[in-house]
Amino acid sequence: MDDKALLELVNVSVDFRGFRAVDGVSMSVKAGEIRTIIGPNGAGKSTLIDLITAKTKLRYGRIFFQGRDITNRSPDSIARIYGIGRKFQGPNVFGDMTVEENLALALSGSRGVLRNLLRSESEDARGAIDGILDTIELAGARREMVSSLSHGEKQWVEIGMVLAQDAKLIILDEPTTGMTADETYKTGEMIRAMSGDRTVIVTEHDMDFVRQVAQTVTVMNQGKILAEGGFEEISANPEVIRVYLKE
Amino acid sequence: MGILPIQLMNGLFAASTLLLCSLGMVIIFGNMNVVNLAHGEFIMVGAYTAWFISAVARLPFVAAVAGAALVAGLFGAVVERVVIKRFYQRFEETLLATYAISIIMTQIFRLGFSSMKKIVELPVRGGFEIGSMTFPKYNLVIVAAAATAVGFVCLLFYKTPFGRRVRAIRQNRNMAMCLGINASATDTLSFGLGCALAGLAGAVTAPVKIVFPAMGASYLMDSFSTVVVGGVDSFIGTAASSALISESTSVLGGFMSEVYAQIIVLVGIILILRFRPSGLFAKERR
Amino acid sequence: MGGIKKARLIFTRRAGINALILAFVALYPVAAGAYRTDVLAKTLALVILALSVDLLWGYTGILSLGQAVPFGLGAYIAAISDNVSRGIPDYMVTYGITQLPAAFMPLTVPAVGVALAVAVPAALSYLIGRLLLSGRVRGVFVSLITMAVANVATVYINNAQKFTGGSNGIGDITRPAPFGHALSIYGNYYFVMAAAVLAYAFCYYIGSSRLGRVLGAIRANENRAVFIGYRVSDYKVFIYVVSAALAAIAGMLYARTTGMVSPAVTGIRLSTLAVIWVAVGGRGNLTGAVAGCLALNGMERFAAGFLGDAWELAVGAILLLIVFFMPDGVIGAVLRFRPLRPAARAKGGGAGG
Repeated sequence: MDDKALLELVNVSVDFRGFRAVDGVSMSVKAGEIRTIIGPNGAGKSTLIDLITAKTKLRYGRIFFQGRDITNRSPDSIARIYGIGRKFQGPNVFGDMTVEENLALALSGSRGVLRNLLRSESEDARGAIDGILDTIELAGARREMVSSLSHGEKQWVEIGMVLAQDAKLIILDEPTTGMTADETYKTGEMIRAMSGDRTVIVTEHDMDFVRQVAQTVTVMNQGKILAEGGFEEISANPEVIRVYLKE
Repeated sequence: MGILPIQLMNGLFAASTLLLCSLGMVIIFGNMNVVNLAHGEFIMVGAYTAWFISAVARLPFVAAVAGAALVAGLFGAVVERVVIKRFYQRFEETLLATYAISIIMTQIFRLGFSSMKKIVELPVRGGFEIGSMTFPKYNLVIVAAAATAVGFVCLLFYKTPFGRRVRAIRQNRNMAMCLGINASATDTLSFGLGCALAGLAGAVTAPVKIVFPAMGASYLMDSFSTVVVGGVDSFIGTAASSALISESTSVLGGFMSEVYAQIIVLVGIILILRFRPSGLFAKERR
Repeated sequence: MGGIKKARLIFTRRAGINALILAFVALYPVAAGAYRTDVLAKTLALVILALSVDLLWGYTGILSLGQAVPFGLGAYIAAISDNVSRGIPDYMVTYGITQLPAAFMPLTVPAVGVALAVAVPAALSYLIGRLLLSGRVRGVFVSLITMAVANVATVYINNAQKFTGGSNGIGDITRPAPFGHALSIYGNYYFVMAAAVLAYAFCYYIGSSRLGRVLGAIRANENRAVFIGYRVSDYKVFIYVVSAALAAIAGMLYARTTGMVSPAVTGIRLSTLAVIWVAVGGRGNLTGAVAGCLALNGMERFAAGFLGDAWELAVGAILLLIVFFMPDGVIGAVLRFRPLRPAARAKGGGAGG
């Protein structure tokens, strides 16, 4: 096991009714890096994320975070105790609340029932929300209902929520779907800005976007890891080209 | 003959009644994902129709059963067209709307036929003996009716184009519609079928139960428990759970007060839901 | 329309409606006379039950069809406590009880009776909540199981005649005695009204706290709340227990206002009726629950004279119409109503969320 790894997957597998969606994946993500996971549809990218965030129960293998075994902990404790934040594929936000309320809900701090009964929003929290609103470029829309925003803006709200969680590891599942080229570029810059003190894992389809943000790229195909390396190295890999061209 | 075999026999008859009354709910709740709080009222409609045909019009009991299924089925189809249709996949609205329907149906029958209990005479009289115990012959009719009804719906759902369509819609409504299945008509048909089965159950059990406007409430809870334990969408599972629930209530009832038996069975159902949310007899899915 | 402007408009309207209701309720005894005042006191106890339903359903999205269980338990414990504090009740004597069973001894102390009337239903709800709300049990099953619990509770109370008086119920319950001696009809009326106002304030506070926001998040998108890191089951069980305690208080006041309880107070009928009040009034804004409860109970009193049994039919029809045409209930529709300006209409902005 790699000591410096923030996240370490050891021989992780899962199957649904005999179909092996993720097949013996071992992977290690260093603190502070931006990891991009690419691969054709059905390669197992989203399932892998489901496994890390405990949305899906792991059948085989183990997952370590900061050296601690987090295999099959409950999803809320993965988010709360270990600080792994997740953005779902396609915006998954609270549409009937304002942008500000969405962020406030996600804001780190007390998750306990009784403390929330007795607590209202503090000045610190307001400051934190202001900062996030600037990062996701939605300062002007803080009081808007999220349901009235564009698809791309909703995606940003969800990215903002993950930021508000103050997660050590941020996992973004296809954050740019439904975005214009301009919005996609801005999203890439946001991700670059948030890495460093945080670690980011992104799954993506858009190759320009991958080139923009990627430090290390992991290529998945049929539930397995096909290749791993820098962007140039990966894009020159004949096997990767074959898989992508076939698609 | 000891007390246990008698309890087991009584359990068998109770299980057949329960199964008969739950089949409609397997279709409507299990396959269409609609909570019909008026389920018991469709049974009540069947019972009243049977009473009307056999006691008022003095026609044979077979006609009463057929008529009950027909009336309840047609009424169910109308209810689906007018009300249920608008609220698919919205369980709270469905719950409220079907509860409203159940109130309205009960009250209409109360105003039309008064709260007086109606009596449907046993079409088959006499008893038969097992060991030293005598059981009413009509119990055998109920067992046979339940077995026939289960066989019928199983064939219908798994061996006919109609059944394939219903299952296709359940699994992927949009895809089914793309394949040219008229989902709306199939919904109406299957809801009507579920209600027809409820009506049939009301008619067949009418001679051994009391027929009155508010009779539906108790049927609702019983059918619901049975269907949940059985795995919601499985006919065979529901048959098994009818047996399990009736036998345990009946056997427990032999040793303790009926109320405690009911409480134990309810706690059992809650535990089953907690630890096997898809029912005792259903295969685990993702 | 900006979120803020809309929120302010809703706030003002709600405050206005609340003020009207409060003024009506506060002044009612002046004009109504003792009998009618006592009748409205009973309805005010039911208002607290309606608020407990709204806390659970409107705020959190848990639709219990068995809210009469904590209500009825509270009512029965209050009734028994009141009776046994004055010796062995007649109905127990009828069943041959000459010595009060040990389990009932604590109830002879009125204060303990009050505490148990709230604690027992809350504890039972905690057990049910832990089983039903902390797993993968779907919402519709929660509704149906709570309904089944209400069913069994009624059967049980009917059956345990020795302790509950069976289908006859328990009578001869005195009015509350917060200052040592039983209140008059009018005193009790304002006592219950004060309790209802406090209950409203309590629910309002929960709604405006951070907790309320989390509950709203659970109602809107439970899964997302989990992945932000909320232990959703804790929240659901908490609000389930709090709402049960509130319902128990309502039951306690109800029993001591009406002077008698019968098995129906724990049953499916009262449970579903409470849900109907909230659905008709409009859920999630408290005012709807209050208005729905007052209006439907008032109409029942009024209509009983000439509609008789057909009143029930009217309740069914009203409920069906509401579900069809006013999914947010009457008060919900009033709060959200806004005459659309042509520009807004062109945008199709009617679906404001």
